[in-house]
Amino acid sequence: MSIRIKDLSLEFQNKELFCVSHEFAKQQIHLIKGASGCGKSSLLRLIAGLSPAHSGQIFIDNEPISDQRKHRLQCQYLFQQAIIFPGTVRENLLYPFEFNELPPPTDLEDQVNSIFPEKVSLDQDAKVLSVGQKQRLALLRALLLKPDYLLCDEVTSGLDESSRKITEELIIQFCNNGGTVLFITHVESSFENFDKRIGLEMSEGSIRKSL
Amino acid sequence: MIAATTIANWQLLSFIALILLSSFASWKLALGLGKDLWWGACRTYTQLMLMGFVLTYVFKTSHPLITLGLFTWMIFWASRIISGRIKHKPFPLQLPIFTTMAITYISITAITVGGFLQNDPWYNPVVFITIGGMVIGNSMNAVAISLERLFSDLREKRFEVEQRLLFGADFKQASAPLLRDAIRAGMIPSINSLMGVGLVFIPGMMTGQILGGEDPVNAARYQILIMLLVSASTAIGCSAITLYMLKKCFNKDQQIKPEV
Repeated sequence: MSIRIKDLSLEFQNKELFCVSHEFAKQQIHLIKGASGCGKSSLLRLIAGLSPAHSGQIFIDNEPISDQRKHRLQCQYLFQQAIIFPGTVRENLLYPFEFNELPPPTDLEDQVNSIFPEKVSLDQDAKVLSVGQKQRLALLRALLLKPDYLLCDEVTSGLDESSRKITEELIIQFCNNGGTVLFITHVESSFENFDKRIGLEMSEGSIRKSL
Repeated sequence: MIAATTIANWQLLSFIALILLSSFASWKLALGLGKDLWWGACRTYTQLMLMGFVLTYVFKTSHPLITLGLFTWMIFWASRIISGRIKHKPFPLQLPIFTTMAITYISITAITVGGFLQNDPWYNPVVFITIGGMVIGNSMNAVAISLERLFSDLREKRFEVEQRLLFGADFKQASAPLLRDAIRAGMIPSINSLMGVGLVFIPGMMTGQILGGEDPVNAARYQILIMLLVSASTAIGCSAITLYMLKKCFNKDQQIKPEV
């Protein structure tokens, strides 16, 4: 699914932070770069339906968003610091299904083994996982909801090499299966060997291609 | 029956010595509370004496509109105090607090006076104003604590709430743990009172009745009723106001408003 934003603007303290128009092609990884404070995270939050825009519109496959609640479920936003709830790994993975009509997954063990080669038990307390493990857990939890697109806010920054690699592989797999990814990063080498990546630069309130 | 003692003016004024003593302590310990203590004492004298005269008039006239008018006036001040005690206000609070409190507490007091206490008329000001006043006074602290907790939690745990929204939750589901914690925080003093009453302290109303010459057992009966009424109304009022305020923190798309 493609995402098109038209004159999407955000104001902060009565001052316009940005006003952007852009079309994010489907089944691509869009790498968004830009100086700190230029509004990358705010833009992703607007697209995810977490913050209200001052003006402008968002179109999904040329259709305006009619139901924000449904839209949020379709586009999973990943925070820079993974949000992990009290409880075990299993409880964290099943928690989202308390809030929607989606069927809970039945192959949790296989899914967990695939993202944790270091072996993490489903019954382990999720709060004691490392930063990288928590981020992988949050990513898997988002993917279990079978979203159409992923919005990642610097999810690999500060991760160890192994966690970063696994996270990127999962995102590539998601993209190869038809998903669209908007990925904020400061790292030049993100997804470097992946051919379906588009580099974008956000500055002075506009988005342009950088690679 | 214990004889009621009338407090003479000179006796009442002599209690200023206690304020002198505490402001001396404040000065000695550099607490900086002297001004507040004197201002508080002045307000206590003025407000309560004025209240005494107003109540004498309201009790004599016994008119439903006058009774409800005075009660609404008391709720107005309660809402003003609550609003003033909340440091970070995401939006103007006094009017919504006042409206919710007025609806909740007028209904609860009317049901108690006319229904449980079988007073005829239901607006009997002697009972309505005194009992209702205690209900508002006790709920005021609970509401202030609950709202302060709700707003601070919404700021601190914003991403947690948004994560639940991303799971498909509506605003109530997404902030249910925060709402629960806020109401609990407000209810704790009231529950502590239920636990400690009769063991740790003799409540104000019972003390007043005993000093006024009432039989202690009968005073205890009234006190039980008041304690239970206060707990129930605190729970109902706190829940209603906190839930209403929570709703106001979200927009129609169930996003947390930027000003929160």
